[in-house]
Amino acid sequence: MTAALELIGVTHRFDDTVVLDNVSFQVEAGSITAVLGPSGVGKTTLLRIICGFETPQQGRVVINGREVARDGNSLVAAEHRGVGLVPQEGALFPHLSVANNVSFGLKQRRSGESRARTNHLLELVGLAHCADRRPEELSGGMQQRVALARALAPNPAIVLLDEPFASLDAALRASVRAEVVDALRRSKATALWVTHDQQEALSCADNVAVMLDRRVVQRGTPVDLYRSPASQAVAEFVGEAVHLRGQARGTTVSCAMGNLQLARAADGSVTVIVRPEQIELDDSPTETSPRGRVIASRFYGHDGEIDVRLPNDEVVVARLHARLLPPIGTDVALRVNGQALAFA
Amino acid sequence: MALLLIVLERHFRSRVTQRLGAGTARSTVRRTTLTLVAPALVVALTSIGFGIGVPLVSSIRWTREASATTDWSAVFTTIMSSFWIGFLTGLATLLLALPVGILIARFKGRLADVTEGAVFVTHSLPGIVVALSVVYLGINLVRPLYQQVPLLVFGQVIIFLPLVVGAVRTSIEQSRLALEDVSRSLGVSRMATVFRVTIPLAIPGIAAGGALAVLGAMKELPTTLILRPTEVETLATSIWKYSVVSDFGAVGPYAVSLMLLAALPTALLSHVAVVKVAR
Repeated sequence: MTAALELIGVTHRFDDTVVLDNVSFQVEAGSITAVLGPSGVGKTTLLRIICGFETPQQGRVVINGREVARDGNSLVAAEHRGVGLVPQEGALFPHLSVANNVSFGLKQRRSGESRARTNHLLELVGLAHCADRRPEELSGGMQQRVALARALAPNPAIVLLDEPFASLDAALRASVRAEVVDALRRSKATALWVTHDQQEALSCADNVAVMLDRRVVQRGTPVDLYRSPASQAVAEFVGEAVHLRGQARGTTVSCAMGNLQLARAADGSVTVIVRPEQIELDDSPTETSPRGRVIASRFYGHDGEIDVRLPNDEVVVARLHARLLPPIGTDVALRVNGQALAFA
Repeated sequence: MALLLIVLERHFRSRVTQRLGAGTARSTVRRTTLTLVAPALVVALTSIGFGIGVPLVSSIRWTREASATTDWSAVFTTIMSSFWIGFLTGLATLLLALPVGILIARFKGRLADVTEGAVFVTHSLPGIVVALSVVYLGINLVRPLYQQVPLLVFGQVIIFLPLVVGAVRTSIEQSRLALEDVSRSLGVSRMATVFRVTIPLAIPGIAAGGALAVLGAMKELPTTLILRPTEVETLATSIWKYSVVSDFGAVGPYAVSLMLLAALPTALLSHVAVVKVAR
């Protein structure tokens, strides 16, 4: 595997404000990598640097083995970098038809070859029947798919997607997301996907780089990030977390939920983190089983959550099958599945 | 005074407004109700009545009264020269206003500020001052062009450039920067992006600006009087020439022609305005 994109020690400031601090990661050719971070963490700036609209004061940007920016110098202009861009809200050219949007970046746009390429890409995103429509006649989700086809048309080294579905409503988002991922996979494109949505990053990407506080704090597969986050901040950002005080000794920790196994050894006073789906009702409790009283219950349809107050007043959240949700006020016995995380 | 206004205007405009918010741009549905429309209609009709009706009716009456003595071929020649000078001015102003408008809208910085300031300072000057400066220039530097059409058009361009730059700049500022970024990421150079994205999106503003310049040049008087070639009369100079001697019968045909001719760019302007509102 070769890297389609490498960032090495990229640091960028606007005036005196550091926006990106020593950011390094790479994107393997043919993979989808997500940059996951809360709003305002510098993700869009990162994309603008890769595109060539901003030049980082320090660090290097390498695309397909070619250095395009280094320490405050842009070595390759934006139009020669071979980077496709799908901006927020698509940004289709309103004065051009759908087909002309897609063929915008092709050489010899009127040639048969270009037409075939345009048709192929519109089929890839499932919009071949919309070729002659105007952008404003399409729904938001369709516009995003056209924007993807347009970005893929000139066969870029990498496609950058900037919060591509942030403006779509929740019901539409999941289906458009699936279509976009499918189109990316089938075209074997390399993609870098910027999002603040944990679910989106974990479900769509092969690799995720978590950005917190202007730096990349952890890189890994979605499973690695979720199961072994490098810090408490990452653990809390990539999923829901239940916090407990605990005393760790090696690979066990004792806390209000009993003695738990730790994924990574720790010692002394720690914050114990377990995921709500790890906590379940214990049907055959023993004397040592942790107990508590249900103080809140939330029904989501497919599943639900309860808040349980433990004897020491700590509150844990358990995610349960919807038909298992006990009513508020019930005393329940609990158990924890799998390993817990502990952070000093 | 003018400088003060420019500084103030720049201060307030520095908070640039852009289209914000999520979602797809949709066409605005225009709804009208009678209670709202009725008073608006009264105001509009009254101003149209005084602004167009009165001059049009009296001009037509003058024309009919003097129709026997009217030299129609002279009127026709004058229409053609008015149209020609208006057309040249519109074209030249647009060619200059486009790069200036793009510079001001897209490349913020000292150069853009100075250029914009320079353009708008001339707008605050009375036309006669501009005309006299151009006369000075013509006599001292480009003598062969003095009282020739190119120098006349040059003077008009200076006067109308601010209007056209304003129209062009506004329409360019309204289009999203992201579109230009996407164009460049698709391998299109900065210059080609201007021609394939920036200008096509600004067409309504560009057309409006051009129409403003044509309209302005056709009815402009002081600069035309001073800079026109001696044998050339425009509709405006003819109206002036006859009305200073109170020969209203002779004014009639020129006044009617000017109003009809001015209706063309005005129609274009209002068409553009309607299209822009509907978008």
